[in-house]
This record gives sequence, C-alpha cells and structure tokens, in this order.
Amino acid sequence: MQQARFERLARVVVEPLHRYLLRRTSADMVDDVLSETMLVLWRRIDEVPGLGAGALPEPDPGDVLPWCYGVARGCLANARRADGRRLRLVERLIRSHEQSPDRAADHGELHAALDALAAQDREVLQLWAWEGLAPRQIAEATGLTANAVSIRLHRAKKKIAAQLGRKDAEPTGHKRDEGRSSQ
Amino acid sequence: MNDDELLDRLKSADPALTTQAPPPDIDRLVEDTLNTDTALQSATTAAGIATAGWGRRRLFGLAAAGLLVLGGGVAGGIMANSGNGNGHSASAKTAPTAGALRLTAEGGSGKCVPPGLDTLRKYPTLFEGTVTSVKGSTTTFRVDQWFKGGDAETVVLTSDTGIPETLSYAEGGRYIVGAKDGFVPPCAAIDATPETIAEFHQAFFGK
Repeated sequence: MQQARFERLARVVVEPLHRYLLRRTSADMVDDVLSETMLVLWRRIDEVPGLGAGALPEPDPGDVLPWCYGVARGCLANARRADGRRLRLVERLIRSHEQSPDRAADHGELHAALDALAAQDREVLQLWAWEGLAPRQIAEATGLTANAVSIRLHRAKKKIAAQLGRKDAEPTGHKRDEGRSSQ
Repeated sequence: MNDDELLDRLKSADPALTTQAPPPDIDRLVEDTLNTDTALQSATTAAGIATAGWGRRRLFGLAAAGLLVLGGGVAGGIMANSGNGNGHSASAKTAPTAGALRLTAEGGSGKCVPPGLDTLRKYPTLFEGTVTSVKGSTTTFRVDQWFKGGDAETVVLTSDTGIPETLSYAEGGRYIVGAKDGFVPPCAAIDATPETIAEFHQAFFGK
C-alpha cells in the first residue's frame, strides 16, 4: 500500500532532510520547504530508488537519501526562485547572526570561506561533510556526474583548506586551538 | 590541512548542531502530506478549469495540459506529457515564426530534482541557449547549440506567469532547455554549467 510505503520512507528521511534544510536556509523557511519536499516524495513515491515495492523492511538510508536530498534541493531552489534575492540575503544575515557569539568567532572564517565558494562547489562540499555522502551519492543528489563531483569536491577542499590555512597563519587573527603552524 | 582535519573542522561548524529548531513531527508531516495532496488536487483541478475559461489564446489547447500538469503535479510532469502528447500535437504544434522557434513554458504545482542528461535527452527538442532578454512572460534565447530538433538561431519562450512555479530565467544566463510539441515542461530546463555543457557535448557530439 502506497501510504504505508510513504510512511516508511518518511521515518527514514524526514530528520536528515530537516537537518539538510536547517543547514541551508532560515529556520522559518525550513518547515515550508520540508512540507513541499514531502509532498513531492509522496507524489513520486514510485520513483524513489531503493524503496522496495513490498511492505517489508525500512529502506536503507544510503539508498534513498541521496535522491531525497535532490528533491529537497530542488524544492529549496524553487522557494529561493520564488522569493528571489531577498531570501538569499536574509539567509546570509540569519546565518551570521543566529550563531552564539563564541561559535560565530569559532566558525565565522569557515562560513566566510564556504560563502566564497561557487554555489555548486559549496553544495558538493557540504553534502560530503555534513550529509556524509560519498561522491557517487552526491552525484545522485545533484544531478552531476560522479566524475564532475570528484573534481568539484577536490577543488572545493583545496580552496577552503588554503583559505583557512591562510587565515590561521595570519598573526593578527584569533589564536586557534588547533595550534596549526604557519608553514 | 588534510582531508580529516578539514572534515572535522566542517563538522564542528555544522549549523544543524546548534539549531534551536524543534525536531520535525514525522506523524504530523505524513498526515499533512497525504491530506494536502488530496486538497491540492481538487483545488488545482478547479484552477485548471478557470485558466481554460480565461481563454488565453496563446495557450491553445493547454487546458488539457494544464489540468494534467496542475492536477497531476510532479509525478505527472514529464511522464504525463511525454505519454499523452496527442492533445499537444493536435492543437499546439508550433512552427518557427520569423526565424525564431516559439515555445510555451508549462507551469506546475510540483517540484523536481534538476533534470540531468538522461532526462533531457528524451526530449525531441533540446538546445543550449543564452538568455538575451526577459520581457514580462517572454524570454528570448540566442541558441548556442542545438542538440536535437531544431536549427533556429533564436528561441522565444512564453511563460504563463499566472501559473505558479514556472521556471524563471535570468538575462545573460545559459540554460539547457528541452521541449516536446512546442511545450517546455516544468522540469525540462537546467542552468548550463561548463560541466553540464561538456557532458551534453560529449553525449551528442562525442567531443
């Protein structure tokens, strides 16, 4: 029965999708986009890869999640398109103000470095680091080829590491716990 | 900084760790989804009829397609259009006018994963183009490359802005757009990044 399949899928994907959206947009947008995402998943329930037809076991998150992240990504892009630049600006402002001051001090540079990446490179890097996806799964979520993902991931890692390394090396910067040398 | 260090650093900055948002209520979400879908289907079916009643001349037989797209939502999308193209071809076939190919963008209440090569190559009309102007609901493309089904230098795409979620195009942006029977379905266009362009060129021209 389709409703039972959907419910099984929901139990596996809702929380990761919620976190995916929390990482990328303002808290008040999260619920709307999550609802839209679930609506799409329900309508496309037959297309979800890795979701068995039978009433049996819960789907493996590794099988279903990349595709579902792709849907959430599409819904978020639609919401952003609908709201235009205003929303993106609000998202940035919220991201920089929502963090507590000590965390902001810790991660401000990192978020700045992420913001400096091209949008698709940033998404690939975040899917790798935060969603914990392998390049093949990132390809499924983004519609890129696995090869393109590997290239982008490599480039994004290199860029961000270089940027953070540079910041860490600045003598006037915050003293960092990692104690990285300036080499 | 090696991969592991970078990963640790990124993980420690994960916004989901510090959020104060309450966790989602899965039961409510499931229930809402199933209820919303039923309500939306009846509402949008009514909207589809209203749209037809306005008699938008440019949209010819889009009433049927509108019902399909609006009522059927995403699952419909491409599949419904490709499987049920008779209504289109009978009444809405487009012919190049003044050298430009004219297409109509279909709206849809659904969302979609950005389509890839495998999806887009199924469309009989497929091109890579740069938007030269956006005026109201009319977007004009300079065709950079035809992959399938055309040779016009210009494509004029008319969007029905009355339908929500119709794709929007930015002037100067490059897109790969698929169409069937003169219509661009809701999930048939993507931003053309250098990677996607290379992928399409490889697939169609082997270079």
